[in-house]
Amino acid sequence: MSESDNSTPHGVARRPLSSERASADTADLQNSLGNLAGLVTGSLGLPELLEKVATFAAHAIPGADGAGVTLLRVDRPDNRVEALAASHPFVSEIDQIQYVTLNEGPCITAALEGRTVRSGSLGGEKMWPRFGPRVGRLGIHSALSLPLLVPGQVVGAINVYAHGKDVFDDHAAELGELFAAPAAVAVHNAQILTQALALTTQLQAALSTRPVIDQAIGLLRGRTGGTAEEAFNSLRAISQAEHTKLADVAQHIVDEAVRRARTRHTNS
Amino acid sequence: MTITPGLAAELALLTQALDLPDTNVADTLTRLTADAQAAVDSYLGLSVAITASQSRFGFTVLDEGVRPEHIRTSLLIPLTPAADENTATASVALILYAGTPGAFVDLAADLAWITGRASADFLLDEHRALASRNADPATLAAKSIINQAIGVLIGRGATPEEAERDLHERAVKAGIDPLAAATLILAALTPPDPEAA
Repeated sequence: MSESDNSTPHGVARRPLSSERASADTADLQNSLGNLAGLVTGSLGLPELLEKVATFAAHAIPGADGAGVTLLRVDRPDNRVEALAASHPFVSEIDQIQYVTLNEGPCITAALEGRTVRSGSLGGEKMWPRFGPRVGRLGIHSALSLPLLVPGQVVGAINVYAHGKDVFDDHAAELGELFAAPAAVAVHNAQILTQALALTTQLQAALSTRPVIDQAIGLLRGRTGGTAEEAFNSLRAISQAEHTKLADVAQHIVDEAVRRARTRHTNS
Repeated sequence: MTITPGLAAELALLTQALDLPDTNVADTLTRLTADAQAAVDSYLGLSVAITASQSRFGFTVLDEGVRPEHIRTSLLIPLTPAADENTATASVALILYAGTPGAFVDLAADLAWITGRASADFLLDEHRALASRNADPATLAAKSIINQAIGVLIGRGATPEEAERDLHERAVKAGIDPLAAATLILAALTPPDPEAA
């Protein structure tokens, strides 16, 4: 592994950059940054936005064969890392190994330590003795992980992979960091909006359904003399047995009782 | 962030109504707070006010030790959750508070950009005074008891309108409020006599 400085472990050479390559890379980066700016005007949800960020990262960083985005759960003391988007299926496979199977790898290091890390020979990488050889056997030999930084905080990381060895040099890391800066802001703001929408959507749904659930609980309690908890558990059992939403079960029970009441009134 | 026991109980009632695996309203609130703290250095807390299906619910959660006079700036984020067949259209106001004037200027601009809404929709500094805890004096727990009592009365043959009227009349007659009348109805419930069956 190396940090994004002038060190070149594992033979990651500082190759002279031709002017053609430099201008092509800059064009790719500009294009991807432009796409990133376009993202935020499109009112995407967080998962879609992360997937686009992963795809644009794969285009922006020279040599990349695929990229993924992970976020830190900043509300948890263990700062658990979640893999949330991948540009290609092989990235999802690597993320599964990194986050679920081994809990070890470049993106975890980048996200938790807030620094750019890279490796040009994952199979022999000492920093991740279990992760490196495992993905090396999958034919993935180079990794570049870029922290998503907002002021004073790491919110996640972008993972970039390549099949070849020593693919990501200093130039790639610099371009990656240029891409990661606005990506971090876009991702983090989308995260706030997503959480705000999740909270208000949950409140809205619960406030809409709680009254009828309580009325159904009352109906069941009237029949059985049991507690509210027992009545709720009965509703839930019906809901699970019939594969029907709890609120729909409650609504049905109340509707049936009201129908019977109205029928009695009509007939009396 | 401090979630009082009362608010925790109400969020638990709402989580129960959702009946979704891995969904806990208090956890979602904690995540939003953590994200807002990460975005704005001097973040102090937030308020939510929501009206759905004629139920109003609102709360304020401030960081530990924060007093209302510490609030120097606010940002109202307009949100319109999509309604489905089970949910009524809601009116929602989410307000963030911070201690440094101007702390929300960048976030407001970014959120306007993300959502494609006008910047003017994200109101800065118009809600620095904390709203009263809840515009609706009845807590969710109280409403739950009243609705359960209405359910009992519906089960005895009343229409919903009659059940509400019955509850109100019981309260007036006994000189108590509807919550107390509902509590009495529920307290009087007894398991059916097995020998009578």
